[in-house]
This record gives sequence, C-alpha cells and structure tokens, in this order.
Amino acid sequence: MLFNSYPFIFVFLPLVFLCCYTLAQKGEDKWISYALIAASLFFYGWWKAEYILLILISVTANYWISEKIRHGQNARQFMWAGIVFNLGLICYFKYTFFFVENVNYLAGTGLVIGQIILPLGISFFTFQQIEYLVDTFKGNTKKSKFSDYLLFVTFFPQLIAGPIVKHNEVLPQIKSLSKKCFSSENIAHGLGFFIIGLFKKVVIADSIAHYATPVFQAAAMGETISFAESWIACFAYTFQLYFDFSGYCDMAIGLGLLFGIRLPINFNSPYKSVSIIDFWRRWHITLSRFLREYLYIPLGGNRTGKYRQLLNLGITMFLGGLWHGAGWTFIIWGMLHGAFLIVTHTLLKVTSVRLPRSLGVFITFFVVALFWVMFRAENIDAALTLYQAMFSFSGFDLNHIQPGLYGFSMLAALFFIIWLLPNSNEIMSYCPYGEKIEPKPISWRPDLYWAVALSCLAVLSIISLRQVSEFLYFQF
Amino acid sequence: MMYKKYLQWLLLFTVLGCAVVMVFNYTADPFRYYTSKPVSLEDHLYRRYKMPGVVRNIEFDGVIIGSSYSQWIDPNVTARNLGGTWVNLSLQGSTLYEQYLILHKALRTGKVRKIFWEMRLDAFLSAREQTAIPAQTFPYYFYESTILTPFEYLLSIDVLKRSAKKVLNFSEAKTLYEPDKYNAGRVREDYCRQVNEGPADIEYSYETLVQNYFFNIQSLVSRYPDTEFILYFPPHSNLYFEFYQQYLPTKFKASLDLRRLLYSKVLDYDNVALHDFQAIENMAEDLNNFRDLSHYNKPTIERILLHTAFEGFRVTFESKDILQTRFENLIYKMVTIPACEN
Repeated sequence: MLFNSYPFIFVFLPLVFLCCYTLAQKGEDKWISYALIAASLFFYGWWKAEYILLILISVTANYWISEKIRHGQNARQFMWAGIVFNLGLICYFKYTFFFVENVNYLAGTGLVIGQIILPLGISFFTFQQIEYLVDTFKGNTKKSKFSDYLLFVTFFPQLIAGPIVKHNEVLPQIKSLSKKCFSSENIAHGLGFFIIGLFKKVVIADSIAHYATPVFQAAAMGETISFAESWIACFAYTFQLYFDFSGYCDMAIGLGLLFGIRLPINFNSPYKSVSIIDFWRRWHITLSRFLREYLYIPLGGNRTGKYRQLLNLGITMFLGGLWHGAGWTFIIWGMLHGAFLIVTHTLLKVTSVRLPRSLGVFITFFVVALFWVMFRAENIDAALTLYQAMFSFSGFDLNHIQPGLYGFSMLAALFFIIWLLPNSNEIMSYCPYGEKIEPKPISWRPDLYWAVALSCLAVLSIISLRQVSEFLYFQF
Repeated sequence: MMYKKYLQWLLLFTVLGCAVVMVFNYTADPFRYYTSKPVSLEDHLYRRYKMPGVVRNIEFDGVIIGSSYSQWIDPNVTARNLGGTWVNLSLQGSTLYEQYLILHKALRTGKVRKIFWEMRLDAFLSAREQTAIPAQTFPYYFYESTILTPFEYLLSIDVLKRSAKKVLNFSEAKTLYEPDKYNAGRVREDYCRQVNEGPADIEYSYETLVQNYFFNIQSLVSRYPDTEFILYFPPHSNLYFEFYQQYLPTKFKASLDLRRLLYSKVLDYDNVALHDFQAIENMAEDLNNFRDLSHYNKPTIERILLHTAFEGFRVTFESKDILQTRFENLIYKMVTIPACEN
C-alpha cells in the first residue's frame, strides 16, 4: 500500500489512527503497539501477503541472534552469522538475477533462474537489523521485548522507504507509547508533515516527471535526443527524485508523529550543499549514516592513511551505489560519487583555497544532477546517449516533451524552492527524538492561516492522486 | 489558537474543499458514471472511462465489444439482425484485457445474453493483463466498484478540468462517419504510407496469444455458460495481408497462429460461435469497403451482421477446413501492389 493511495488515505490510516487513539484514551497502552504491529503487517501484506512470512522470519531470526549476542557466548560469531543471514537475504532477492545475468555474459553460459520478486523495503529493514545486531554486539542496545522489536522493524511509516532508523531513536518511544503520544500538538504536526509530503510527491514530483520520463525512455530506445531535451530531462529528474523521496520521508515523519513517534530526518535541503561531502550529510541522511558507521569506519575510515581513506571512500560509495539497485548504472553512479568525493577530499587537503558558498552550491548541484542521469537511465547506453546530447549542442528540438511556458515556469519555481525556501523540517520546526531546533522565520503555527494554507495543499494533493489519460493511436 | 481548534479548522477546510470538488464533478459527471444517457458512436474519446457508466445505467442484453473496427457497429442494426437490446462498448486501440474488464463488468450485472466480440490480432499481442493506456491511469475503480469509487472519480483534478469544459460548453472532439473516405484510393495510399514509414515488425511469442485466450476469453466463456459468445475475425483488405507478408512477417505469422488457436479452442464450448469473416473473398478484394488497410465501412458491418444472423462463415467441425482453405487462397492470391513513390 502506498501512502499516496486512496485505500491508505481514506481507509487504512483513519481506521488505524482511530483504533490506536481509542486504545490510548482508554489507557490500554500495551495494546497500542499490538494494534500498530497488526496494522503494519497488514500494510506490508497488502502488496503480497506471502511476504509477511518473510519479514516475520527475518525479524524473528534477528531478534533471536541479538539475544544470543547479548548473552555474550560466541557473540562475535553470532553477529557475523546475523550479518551473513541479512546480506544473504538481500543478495538472494535483490542481486541473484543481476549476478546470473553477468555470469552468463562473461562466461557465455545460459543459466536460467525463475522469477524472483523483490520484497518491498527489504533494503531498508535489512540494514536496520544489521545496525541493531552490530550495536548489540558493541553493547549499545538494551534488552527489548520481542513485540517492541517487531514494531521497531515493521512500523509502517518507515517500513518500505525508510528512514533507516536506529534502535535508540525509536525503541524507547515504542516502549513508552501512551495517551500523551496522541496529543493534539503531535497530531497537528503530523498532519502538517503528511500534507506537505503528499503535496511534494503527487503535485510536484509526479508533475515534473512528465518532462523527464519520456526523454529517458526515448534514450533507452535509442532515439535521438536534443541538447535542450537532455538538459530539461536532467533537471526535471533531479527535482522529481528529490521531491518524490523527500516527500515520502516527510509523510513518514508525519505518520510517525500521528502515533507519537518521532522519526529521524532523512533530507535536509541537499541541493543547498556547498560540496559533495556536505551533500552526503544532507541527502538520505540515515543511509549515509549507516554507510559511514557500519562500512566506512570499520574499513578504517580516515585513520589508516590518506590513500587508504580514499580507497575506503571508493569502496563505500561503490557498495552504496549497489544498494540502490542491482544494475551497472547504479554501481557506476556510486563510483562517480566516490570519485567526486575523493577529488574533493584531496583538494581540501592540498589547497587552502575555498570556493565562495554560492559557487560551491552551484557546482555541487550541477555535478549531482549530471550523475542522476546515470542513476535514472535504463542502461549505460541510454545514459551515454543523454550525456552525448547534453554536451554536443545537438539542437533545441523538443520532440519527446512539450514543457511550454508552464513547464519552464515550474522548473524555475523549483530552483527557487530548493535554493531559497526553508525545507519542511524547518517549516514545521521539527526535531527528531532527543534533539532541539531553532524556529525559522517561515514556521508553521497552529493558526487559521496555516489551517487554510495546509487544507489547500491537502485538497490539491488529494485531487491529484488520480490522473486521466487517453489512448490516441488513431486520430480520424 | 489551540491545537484542537486548529485541527478542527484544518479538517473543516479540507473536507469542504473536497466536497466542493466532488459536488461540481458529480453535477457535471463528464464520464457519465451517474448519468443514464447512452454514449454515441461518434464519441470516441475516453471510452475506457465512460463505458463502465453505460454498463451501470443503460438497459441492454447484448454487448458489442472490440476496437476501432467495431466503432460503427450500430446497436439498432445489430438488434434488427440478432434480436435483443444491444450496447456498443468498443474501446479504441484496446487490449484483450481491457475488453475483458468491461465485459466482465457487464456480465456481472446478470443481464447479458449475447456478446458480439471482435477477435483482432493486436488485442492479443500485449501481456494478458496489460492496458493500452498507462496502468496507473487506467480507471480500475470504475470496473471494480468499491466504496472508494466515488472518491477516486469525483476527487480528481483531471475530472475537474473535464467538468469545467463541459459546464463551459467546450465541445469534445468527435469522429463522424464519412462514407466518402472508404475507397480503394485511400487504401492504396495507406499501404504506401506504411511502406514509406518503414514498417517495424514485432517481437512475438505464441505463449502471449495462448495466455490472452485463457485469461481473457475462456475464463468468461466457462464462467458464464448461459451467455452466447459470438466471436469473429474482422475482415481485412487483401492489401493488408499482402503488406504483412511482405513487411511484417512475424506479425503475419502471429495472425495465422491466432486463427489456428481460436479454431482449435472454441469448438469445445456450446455457448461460443466463431465466425471467420476474413475468409470472404469479395469482401477483402473490394478495397472500396475500407478506409485504410483494415478499417471497414458500415455496409460491410451490415453484411457481417447478416452473415452472423444466418450462421454464415461460422467455424464448425464440418466447415473449418473449407474456411481455412478459402482464407489461404485469399491471402496467397496474387494482388496488384500499389506503385508507391518515396
């Protein structure tokens, strides 16, 4: 079930919220988490019921392993067994086909495997559980009930698209679910976030996709792309991805707040970054944190000499790219980012010259947008077709997209939004669990104006959920 | 303002805003989901959105279904030939799955006694559950009515735009039947146009045809044994077959495979009749019956209906070899190919 779907907005969410709210009002605190577990499993199984079993097996196995680690005997072996189990699961479902395809290509074999359907959110809940196992091994986790752990992993707002939450960010909140979590303040904040996220996803991201998708599809089919089309598609996709993913994360934060749980921030105006290093501190923050704490630092981080540090960066970004998808375009995208990070780190070490802030922001945005082309392209050839069009001044024809005045205005407005306006965390003055934030000039307040503004966004988002299209193959 | 008061305002404005949109769309009802007015044959746009409303609101016991070939099959003419009260639910460029969806909706009403179903090759070439318009915009909510259907229809900005156009009396594009356009010259022009455009053959697997047949036809045939399914191969001009043999050999093979498949399958059912109008020589050879290589005129439709009424060209155990031979003679016969200028 998607957050931006009618069943979710009109049936699932109201029912689950009312159920939990009622339980909270009656003081049935422990039943709130049971209700949320049931709702989360239903939410997960809506797509494919059989995968409920998979996630339950994964959660049970990880919980059992974490308990073994906690008891201390053979803790290291158990931790590694847990990591292998989790990586095995993700490798099987996500990378088997890619692996076989490459073996066939390299060895000229004709290995055939049956269809493997990727379970939703496996990349997220697997990493979340690896974090938990490693932190348990380090002695950083406290013993939790199985039901609390189950809800920590399956909590539906963050289950299928993150953020990748850490135990200390969520488990203490799960353990203290009660009436006070369902305060009017939390609900008002939560709805605000959810509405802003929904607007970002269905009004902005889905609209701007019309100027990216046809061009990327045409490139995949080997059609000629013009200079103008390639750049419009590049920027349109740069915005689409950000508003899509950050919109989803805003909705996740909002939903969490509706149930009194504060999820971590995952996006912090990444296109305002002054360097690629800064970008990775602002883009998909919880993934970057995972890669840093559980891959880059264990590899030695920056403590093993400058060349080794650069190698560690490269390895981390290579695997980061692979995490995003089983395809060479994702791997190359990760490596491009790795290379850019290496160059930036090297320059910072060898020169004391610092770019003006606005130039840094512009260069970072520009390079990140260029790299998104590789990320989005169907294959390497399609990406190269687009890059060639972007740098060959191959004309201004718009054969695959018709942005018109509306499209160009929208693109211009999005530049304004990403560079000059505060982000949703700032607008909502949101601070994750255990943190504090300073209020910004444009801050949400529970007043009539904000009620009108947000209800306008809500109505616009709801009526944009459904689109109409016609098959026009034959005009008489 | 206290948070509770704020939440009340937020909820009130959102519900009010949605209600205004819903009432406006309901009043205009651009896709006629709540209106009991038939959709004219000329009205070819957004039929995937309009036909569920027709099924819901109009009285009928016979369904005409197919693609643009079936657009001009007049329900009244059909009724004269085949009896009953008919409705034309054909969908331009439809896949077999889309036809299945609307037929299934009609059959679920329990009032359908006869179905007149065009067996067009292109409808079988998509995956068995594929729609011709993007799946995310296909109005499934009209086909599987649930409690959410009114919300999904009435709470849509695209529907709102259509409602506004309707209220402001913007006329929607319609196609008129123009008899003059059906002539041999246009068919030859279409042949040359397609040759000059550089025909692109298809990638095809026989499995797709089979899966389409089982999923979208046989499932309905066996589930509704009291309904008579009249399937037919629509006629094509002889230049159509010539063009396919010359330029689209894979698609030509697919068309032969489809014939073989249906010939072999449908005879097993008492409630199915298959008519082969591709085996009528003088229909295929008279190019004045066509507007292009395959779209035929109203007189041809009337002939088809007349043949159907009198069981003409019906595939039976006795007639199937004869019909197949007639078809093969027709398609392999020497045809005068138009001289096309590049």
